[in-house]
Amino acid sequence: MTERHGGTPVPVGTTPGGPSTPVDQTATRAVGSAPTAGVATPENGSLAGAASRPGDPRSGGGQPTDALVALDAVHVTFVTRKGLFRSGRVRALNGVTLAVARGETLALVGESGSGKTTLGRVSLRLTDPTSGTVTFDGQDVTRLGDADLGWFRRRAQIVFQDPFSSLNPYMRVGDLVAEPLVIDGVRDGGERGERVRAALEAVELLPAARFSEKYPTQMSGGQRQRVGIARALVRDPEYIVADEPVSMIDASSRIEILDLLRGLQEGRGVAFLSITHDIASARHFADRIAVMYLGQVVELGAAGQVVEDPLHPYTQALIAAVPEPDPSNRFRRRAVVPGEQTGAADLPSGCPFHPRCPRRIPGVCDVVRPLLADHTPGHAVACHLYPASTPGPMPPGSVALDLVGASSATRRLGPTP
Amino acid sequence: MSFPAPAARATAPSAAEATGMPAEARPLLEVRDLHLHYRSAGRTVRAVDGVSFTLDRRGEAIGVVGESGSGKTSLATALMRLLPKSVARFDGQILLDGLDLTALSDEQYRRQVRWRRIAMVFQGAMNVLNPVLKVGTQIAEPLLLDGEGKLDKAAARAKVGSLLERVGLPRDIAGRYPHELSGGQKQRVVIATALVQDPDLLILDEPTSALDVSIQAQIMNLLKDLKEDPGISMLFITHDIGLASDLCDTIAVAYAGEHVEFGPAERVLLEPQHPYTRLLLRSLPRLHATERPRPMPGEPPDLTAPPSGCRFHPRCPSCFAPCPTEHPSAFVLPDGGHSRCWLLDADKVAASRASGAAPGGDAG
Ligand SMILES: Nc1ncnc2c1ncn2[C@@H]1O[C@H](COP(=O)(O)OP(=O)(O)OP(=O)(O)O)[C@@H](O)[C@H]1O
Ligand code: SF4
Ligand code: SF4
Ligand SMILES: [Mg+2]
Repeated sequence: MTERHGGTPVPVGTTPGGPSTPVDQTATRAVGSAPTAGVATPENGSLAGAASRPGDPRSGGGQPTDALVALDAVHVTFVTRKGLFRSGRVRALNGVTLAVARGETLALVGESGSGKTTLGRVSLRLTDPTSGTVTFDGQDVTRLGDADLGWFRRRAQIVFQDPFSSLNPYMRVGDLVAEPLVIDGVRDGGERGERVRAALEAVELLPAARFSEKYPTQMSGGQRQRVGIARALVRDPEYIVADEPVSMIDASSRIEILDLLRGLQEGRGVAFLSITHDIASARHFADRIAVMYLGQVVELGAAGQVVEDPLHPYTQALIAAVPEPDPSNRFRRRAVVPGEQTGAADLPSGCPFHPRCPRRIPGVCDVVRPLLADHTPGHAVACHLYPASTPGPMPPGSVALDLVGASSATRRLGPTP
Repeated sequence: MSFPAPAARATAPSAAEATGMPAEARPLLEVRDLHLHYRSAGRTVRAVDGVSFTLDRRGEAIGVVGESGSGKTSLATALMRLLPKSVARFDGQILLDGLDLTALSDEQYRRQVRWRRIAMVFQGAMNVLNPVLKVGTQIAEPLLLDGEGKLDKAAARAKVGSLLERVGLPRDIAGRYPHELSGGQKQRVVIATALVQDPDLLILDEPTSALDVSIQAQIMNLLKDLKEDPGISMLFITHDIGLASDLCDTIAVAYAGEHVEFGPAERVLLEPQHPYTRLLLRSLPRLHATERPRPMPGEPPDLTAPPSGCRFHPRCPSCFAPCPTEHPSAFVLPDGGHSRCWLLDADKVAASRASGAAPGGDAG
């Protein structure tokens, strides 16, 4: 975790020193309430304390060293209305430590409601974290106000992949793409025109001059999506969050967009956080995959490794559920995990996946929250089946405490969605 | 106007023969040269344009696969005869177990066919369950209406209970409201609603596309069960050919209002005969392949002005001499399926070879 009060911001995982000061005490502190000396504390899911000890298997958690965007121990809690007088708390993110390296594509996969979009928005400071820090290019942007965020807003962008609702139908494509530059105060019409043309060419809307004159309604869904990407690209960002809606119906147009984004990443060195529900496409278009479940990253590693050698039972279930085109599929039932992801409003104790997990260890999984920790170098998992994930020695017969929700009063609550 | 009848269209016995056939040998559903066109802003949209296929037996599932706007939902609309006001043309033949449905009046269709013999799960249906009615009431509704098959309340309740169990839900969910259910549970309720009058054919339009993959897999398992017992025949509409392979014995590939390829799942998936099917399969991300999927080239066609000749020709890497001008017939394949592609016409291929312009590109 980076120092919040003074000092030079340092990317996650490199700060020497002990466990971070907990801002939010609600994450599971397993096995009694005091951290045992010499054992990584699971507080906030932060790896900062452990990361400083060389040779500690818990260090790293698959995090890159050249982080462009880094989230450390990020929690986001939304207050929701439940009836007239009661309010509920939804823990959209529950202790996420994750970094996107310069020029890489990191895919976030998981079910809807697992916190993917919230994570993407927090990384852009479009949603404020309840606790934890967000760093961009070494600078702590967690507490910067809108007035100081200008530079960041230009360098980090979001692309909405809903081709139907995200573009003003009354504006020509050229004006839609120029709009961010107008907002940024680029007055020179020649420069604007040049940058719009370059952005349209980058997304292969060719000839750019012809597409500039069109209205969104005169274009196909795939072309409209490209306009959305051009709007982000025109600012020449280093980091783009690409959020793919579950309802995005057409498989072939999805691949077209992923292919385009991959080209931009390879050609221009843009870093992408690619949000998707499809682990098969993530395997081909991302460098690394982070699997999320109920507000937590449960597995993180190189894309091929996560798919070929999934460690977490949830990742294994996700992969087993992918329908590959195989005519013998129809003669066998799929192995499925029972039930559905519970809402983030009532998080299970211990491992968030334990109510559905076919391999849960009674007395452990329902009690102690597993930590995201390297199982092999660069491949991290948060599951008690892997020793590195279990915080500290488990005293025999101990009744570990799950403090989730116990001290929510100390939390600074984030904005209501 | 319509294209000339394809030379090699007879993929199954003709309608007249079918009607006279013994019930066991008769296909459950035969669709012949079906057209459904709409009128939209003064133009004709050829959403279903000369579609023919056969669903041979009970408990068989046909997958209709294609990109957005290829006319998949419109085919279902035609089979349910739930036509919008904008219809410009609706003709062709639909035989259900030998019964010529096109000969029925709208009233006969409503009383005898829709929901009773052909039922449907609509695209996005789980989001339009009535929020103020308990799910049991919604499922039971058609059972309590006057007419043939009307049940008393107790019998209807029993029927709803057993249906809920059949779709993998506890009986007592009948007393709940839709908002109290998860996405997967709602989709099961929608399926139960479609099954309440014991239809022979169940049409499912993208039944899982709003669901997460693990819930999708649960629903696919349910559909597999229903297909086996009680042996419901299905027409499964999806944009995802991989998903179709999870359920379907036969696959039809829709492109620009036509079915460009049709046949047993094994052949369509492993030895596709149409270049579009090949490209579709190549654009699919495979979990365990290292080769990156390749996006489909070009833009989807405009159904108000489909390309001349072969509708796929502007995007086809194998396009050759006849393709831009001549509309290909549905060539019958040895397995009884068909492919609408000139590459299957040995004479055309030979002629273009002789003239030095061999069929170009390899779409395989
Ligand atoms: N009621 C209607 N009036 C006019 N045009 C229509 C109507 N319904 C559909 N269309 C048009 O008919 C064509 C085929 O649409 P259809 O909904 O059948 O495609 P689809 O394959 O189901 O697409 P998707 O995968 O997006 O659901 C499209 O061009 C569509 O815009
Ligand atoms: S920690 Fe336990 S419950 Fe959670 S995924 Fe691992 S085995 Fe399953
Ligand atoms: S080869 Fe010709 S007929 Fe066959 S799909 Fe390509 S363009 Fe159409
Ligand atoms: Mg449709």
